[in-house]
Amino acid sequence: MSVFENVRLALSSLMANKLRALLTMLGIIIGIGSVITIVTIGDSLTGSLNAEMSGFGARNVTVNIEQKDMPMFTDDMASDDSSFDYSYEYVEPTSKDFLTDEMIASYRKTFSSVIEAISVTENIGSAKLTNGRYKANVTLVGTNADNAVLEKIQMLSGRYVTDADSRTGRAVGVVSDLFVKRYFGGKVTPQQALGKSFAADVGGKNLRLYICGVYQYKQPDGKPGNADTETNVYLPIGTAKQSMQSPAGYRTLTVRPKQDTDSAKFLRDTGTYFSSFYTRNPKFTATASSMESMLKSMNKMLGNVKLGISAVAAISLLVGGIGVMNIMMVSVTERTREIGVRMALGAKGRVIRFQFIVEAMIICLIGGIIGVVLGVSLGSIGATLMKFPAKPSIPAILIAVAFSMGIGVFFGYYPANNASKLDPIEALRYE
Amino acid sequence: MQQYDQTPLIQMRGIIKTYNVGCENELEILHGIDLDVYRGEFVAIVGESGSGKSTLMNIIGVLDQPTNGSYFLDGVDVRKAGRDEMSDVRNTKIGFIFQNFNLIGRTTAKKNVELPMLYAGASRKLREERAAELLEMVGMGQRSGHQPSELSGGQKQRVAIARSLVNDPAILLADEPTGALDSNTSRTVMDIFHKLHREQGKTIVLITHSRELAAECPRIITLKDGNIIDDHRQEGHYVSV
Repeated sequence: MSVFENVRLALSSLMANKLRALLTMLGIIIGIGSVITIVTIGDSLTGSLNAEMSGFGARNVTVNIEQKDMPMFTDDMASDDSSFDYSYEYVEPTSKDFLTDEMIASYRKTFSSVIEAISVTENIGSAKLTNGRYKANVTLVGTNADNAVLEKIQMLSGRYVTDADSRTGRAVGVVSDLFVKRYFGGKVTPQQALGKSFAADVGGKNLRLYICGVYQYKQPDGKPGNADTETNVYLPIGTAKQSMQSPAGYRTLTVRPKQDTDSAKFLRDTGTYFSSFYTRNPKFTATASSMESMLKSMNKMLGNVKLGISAVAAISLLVGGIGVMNIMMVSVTERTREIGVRMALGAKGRVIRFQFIVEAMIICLIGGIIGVVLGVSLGSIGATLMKFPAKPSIPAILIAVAFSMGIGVFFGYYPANNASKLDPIEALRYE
Repeated sequence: MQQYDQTPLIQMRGIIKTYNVGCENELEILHGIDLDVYRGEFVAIVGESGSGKSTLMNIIGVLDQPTNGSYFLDGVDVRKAGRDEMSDVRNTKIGFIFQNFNLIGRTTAKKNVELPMLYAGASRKLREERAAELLEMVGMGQRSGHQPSELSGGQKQRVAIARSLVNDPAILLADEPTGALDSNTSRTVMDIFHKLHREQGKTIVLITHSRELAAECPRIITLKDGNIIDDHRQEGHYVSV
């Protein structure tokens, strides 16, 4: 007797008891449905977080100088923070501990094939600028030419700061289109703004800058900028350091590797390279980190949470499976006489067993498929409500369907085996 | 006297059936039955209830094993058959017809007829052809798509007869086939048996408690208290068909 015949037989016997079959399936539907819902929401969440983080440059490597022997926040600590040592003594780094232009230059040379851009920045303060009755709020950021690449700056007119500007300490600044609109009262186009100057009071110093370029301001969260919105004014880092009389060198720098670079290896290499400059420094060293490595540990944590909730939801699958077993026991008893007839007509025990296992499997499979549809729908609705793009997990769906069939076999075996062991004479006599 | 093959289709020697062997309520139902049924015979086994005819039928039908004795069915040593071999013997050599029809519910007449062929592993095409042919033969060709619940008793029994014939078995084993039917439909069913016997030479074993029905058959075996007390053949005793 073929599998197809068995499936047909199972379907017709289920159709004869539609409500009962549906109620039996309910356990499986709820079980599979809740697991798939959770997995769908979880995957949508991680997927969208990852996409967002990558937009911010998850592959970018940040090099920081760090106190030696300072406890690090590592992957392990996500699960166990008792190892965190709070007792270290903080020491302020001095200019001799900073990352130097020489280090950067040799690093750039060594890794030229994989480096796309190296950015250094120094925030020198905020200022409220006034131009007659017009006002604009700015943050002054000293930086280098590569920063335009890292921050994906879109120039509307003029140019970005250059390394030559920095060396010669030119008093130029790159301002946002929003700044131009506010500061000049909307009377000046980005093109016309070039060459105009403005003065800013920062850190007790008055700084006059000439506009050398205008970039397009990007709202960080999609909200339109208002009158109080602070926009960045980029000036050459050399100019910034000169005017603030701050020491040479940097506490931090950011590197973007080229596309298709092995980012994990790049991260390790960068860390090793910079820390090698600090082997003889008693207090400080340089470390490299990236958003990507943080994302990994975050994903791992989210994955564990997802697994935990799914395990709880899977308990309802167990309950559903027991329901299937129960109904199969009832079905076997009800159909004792039919089993006897089939045996008299020549059905072997294993044929009878297979027939009932297939029936249990079909209940679970249909329940599983309905559960998957329900789970994907609910999960997608949930993800959409949480404003994440829905991303149903194909492997989870396949596993769920296979698992539901497995439940059918597991919980259907016992009743099916009972059926196969019936004595045909007794079974034929059963009323 | 009709001439039969020398080798009996059913050959039983010293068949004993004891229930609850070794228990306090041990009960011997059959006390050593010797029985030969030849190919092409139409045999009625009669007896009061409690005479052991159901037990004997179960053993003839290979649903049960005797406690003692030997039983050859169409050359097969039934005593040596295990559970699966017994299923095969029932499937290929015996066509059961039950008092209460025992058609599978929610399954069309045609599918019911196909069932023994399905268990024998016949192809769908072959099954459908054979089922259609047999349903036509018992006069149920028009109702092959009907489910048992849509058929009358007589119609159900005709479907059951078609089902019993589908694997072309060595013997038809009918257990009170008219027991649940009124006299008119009983007549139709009995006529089918006579026709099968006369025209196709089918070997039929009819188990009944009715002397009247048994009297129609060329050979009558009477069972009493687990023993055969009478076994005689009668000639020219056909009812016109």
